Amino acid sequence: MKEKNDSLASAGKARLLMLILIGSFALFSIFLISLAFGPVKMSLSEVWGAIVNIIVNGPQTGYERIIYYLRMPRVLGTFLIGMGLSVAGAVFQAIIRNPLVDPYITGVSSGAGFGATIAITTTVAFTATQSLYIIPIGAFIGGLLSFGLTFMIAEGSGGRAINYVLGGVIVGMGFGALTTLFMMLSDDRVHQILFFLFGSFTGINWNNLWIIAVPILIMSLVVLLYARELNVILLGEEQAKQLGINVRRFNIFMLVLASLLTAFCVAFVGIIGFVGLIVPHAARMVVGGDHRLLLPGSMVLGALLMSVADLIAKLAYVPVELPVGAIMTLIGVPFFAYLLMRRGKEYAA
Amino acid sequence: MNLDSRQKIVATLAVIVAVMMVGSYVFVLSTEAEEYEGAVDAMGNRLTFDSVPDTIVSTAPSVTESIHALGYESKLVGVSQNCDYPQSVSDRIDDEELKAVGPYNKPNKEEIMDLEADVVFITNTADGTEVYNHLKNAEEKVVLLHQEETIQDIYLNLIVIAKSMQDEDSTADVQQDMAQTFNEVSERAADGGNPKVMLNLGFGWGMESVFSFGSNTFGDDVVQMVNGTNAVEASGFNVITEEMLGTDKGNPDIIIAMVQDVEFTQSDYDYYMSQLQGDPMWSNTTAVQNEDVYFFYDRAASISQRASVDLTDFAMLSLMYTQPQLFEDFTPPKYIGNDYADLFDGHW
Repeated sequence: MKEKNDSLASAGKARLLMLILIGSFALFSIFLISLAFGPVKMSLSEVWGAIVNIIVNGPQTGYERIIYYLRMPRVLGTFLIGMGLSVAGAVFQAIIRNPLVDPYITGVSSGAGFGATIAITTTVAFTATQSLYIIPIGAFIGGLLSFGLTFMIAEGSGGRAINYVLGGVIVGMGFGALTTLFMMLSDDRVHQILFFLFGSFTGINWNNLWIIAVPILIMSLVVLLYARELNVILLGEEQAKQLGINVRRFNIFMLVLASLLTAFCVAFVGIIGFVGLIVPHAARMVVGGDHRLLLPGSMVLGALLMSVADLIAKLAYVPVELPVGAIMTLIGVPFFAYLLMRRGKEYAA
Repeated sequence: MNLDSRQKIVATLAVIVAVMMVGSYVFVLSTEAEEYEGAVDAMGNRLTFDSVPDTIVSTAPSVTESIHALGYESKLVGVSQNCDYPQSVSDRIDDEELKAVGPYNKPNKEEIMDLEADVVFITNTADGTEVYNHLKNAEEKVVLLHQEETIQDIYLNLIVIAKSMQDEDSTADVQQDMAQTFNEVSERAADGGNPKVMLNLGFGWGMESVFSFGSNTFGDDVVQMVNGTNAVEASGFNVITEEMLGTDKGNPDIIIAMVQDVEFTQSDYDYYMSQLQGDPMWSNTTAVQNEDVYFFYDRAASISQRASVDLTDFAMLSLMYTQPQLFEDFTPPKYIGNDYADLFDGHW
């Protein structure tokens, strides 16, 4: 038995190594392609020359400025947010021990949507400069508020994983209804609200990228540090307690961390579904269920999937940008179906 | 008075004059310095330019028209794909001398940056603000214009554009011409009646989607200018409901409907009228019953929807349609398009 486990673990490590190698190459390729393609067309050699020039002299020409100020922060944003949502999804699936949960299970997305809607409908009260940050701040506060309510309901009803799921569902429904009401009352801003609810990377620039990059990276790293504990939690509460983990405290810590991570992810780009649900499963099929392998695997796959989805959203119907959430689902479904058919028999969520 | 005393007085006067001249010169210099402090845009940001901008990008038809009126059209290198006036702009787009940088409500920031223009004028919409933010971060010279809700906003934007171009004289002339026309319209309208007017948009999207200029809009400014009463009291643009039309105040005597069509024939008119007459909500209005419904299409529609300097033409046209009795031997055509200015001949 132990030998079988060891061989599975080493196979998982080998697969992770392969995933990271192939993933890194793929990410670098997508990075270059994302810099090259857009409404203004550039060849890969022009992009390469521009990157070198940007490093040496800073962005000077029109091409260099487009690459540096518009395309570079955007593609890095897709990497970061794809990574963050995937990590959050993996954490929620482990803590709640339910393969169908995603980062939005605690109502963060509905709360963020409501917060953004309030901010969008009341921005007349702010100057335009302030309004650029009011919407992300509103989304962030809304996300945290809804998690807080879910937390209160779940803890008040026993604090078990299922209580969090049920609490999150009703809080999400409540905020969803409020968002609909506010949309109906401010029909001149429906377009802007829908844009947030569908998700888009078009608003990402260096300023807001830095704001989200640091917390997303730090929180993802913290989750990685607790990968072993996440494995133990999956064994069951009793065994986790025997191994010295304060299960209740650990679960709360992880739920807060994953909810914060989700709130940072949605604040500037809106609600992008699917990635946090499917990527952890896809990663599990490739590297196995050990969170020490699963989390880095999810990071690579999440970044990859998100950046490909954004590239398609940007290029499929130039100059109009399609909602990245819909594209994400459209490419994720066949990808996941393929993985499921190939490896589904040996996979236990 | 001896010579010395006179010399002293003259010398004193000379000093006073010299001080006054120097003072005036300093004052003029300081005034000029203030004039060249640049433009303050809708974000409250002050923009200064080292030299007069040579190349301009405009992201909205109303802005392009204002730029044309101020005399800077030749400096345009990029416009929105909706910019179709003056004809030379359309021609230059066709000849690929001018680049279209996306629709006015969603300008494409990459295409704008690719043009490397000296100044970019952006309208204050949700997407416009986002594009402005990006361009500002990219250290582009970008000016966010004020939301054009009323005629005052049009004046304000003319000033912002002119200050950006370091030329306020042209704006003063254009503003003066606009104000004169508006005054003339008001003065003539004072001799007329006080019809209830509804300026409608959105015909062609179904009768339930028709919306109208309410209060605090430049359309409302025009209705007041022609001595009319706006049948829509609510602020901004409002979808017309049965409840609104059911009140005495909301029942219009005259409807001017702006349609997006570039062609409009008698059959189109018959079609729209049959729609209105067959609709339970609209058929009871005085305007529909008396067939006082007029359709503006193509350029006649765009002068009424774009908050630009050509709003003066819309004011004149509106007076002719709402108070036709003020014009000798004039019966307003049921629909009017590019040739609307022909109606002015002999009447203005």
